[in-house]
Amino acid sequence: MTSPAPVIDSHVDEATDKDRPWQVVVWDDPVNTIPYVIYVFRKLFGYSERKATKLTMEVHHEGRSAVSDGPREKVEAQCYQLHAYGLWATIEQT
Amino acid sequence: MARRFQTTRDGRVSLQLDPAESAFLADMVAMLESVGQVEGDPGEKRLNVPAYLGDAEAAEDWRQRMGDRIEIGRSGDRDVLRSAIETEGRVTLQPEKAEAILRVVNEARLVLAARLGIEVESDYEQLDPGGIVALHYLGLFIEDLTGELSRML
Repeated sequence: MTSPAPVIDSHVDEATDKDRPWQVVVWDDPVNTIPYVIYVFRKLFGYSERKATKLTMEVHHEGRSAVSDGPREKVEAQCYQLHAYGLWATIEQT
Repeated sequence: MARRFQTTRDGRVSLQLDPAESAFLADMVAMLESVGQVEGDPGEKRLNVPAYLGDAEAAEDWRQRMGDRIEIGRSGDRDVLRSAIETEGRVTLQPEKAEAILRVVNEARLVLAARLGIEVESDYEQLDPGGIVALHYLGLFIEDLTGELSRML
């Protein structure tokens, strides 16, 4: 017996896609220094020195780190702040 | 030799520059004022990285909404640095003004590095001595000021 082919409800997918959180990603660059990036994460996000250092080292070693997530408006504003501090930041959906 | 930065008891940051430093930083401000005046300026490209990768429409929309705010902020930061270097002797700054100086000096380092062709770590090996000294000085300036401002977090 053959099962009926699954029907994909694109509306459901669309709603799910819309609800997926957004994140702001900081990318490694060869100019910004590690202490500066740690400071910016602490200043803008209120992170502890430990968390800011962990994220910074992730940027340095992995090439990128998702440093914050949430609604699109929130991460867009955070991306703006990071750009104002000269960090290479982008926005993407998780 | 006097420390370049000192945190005051009332939570401000004092800054002491010698004439050579002031002159160099004035040159950096002039360099930043030139960003975007020449097509294909790597400094402009570095400062204005897209906020969305692989989605030019979203990146342009973000740029339309945020670009002016970023430019106004950068211009204000340059004004703060210009004012500080035009003041003779030690100048005492509110933390937000010291923060502005941190941003603009870092911005100068980013633009200078981009114009010197720094894209990856190994590019530093190709720099001429003048480029090395300039980037090193700006890096030390940023490190010192970051250290002072970190104490206030």
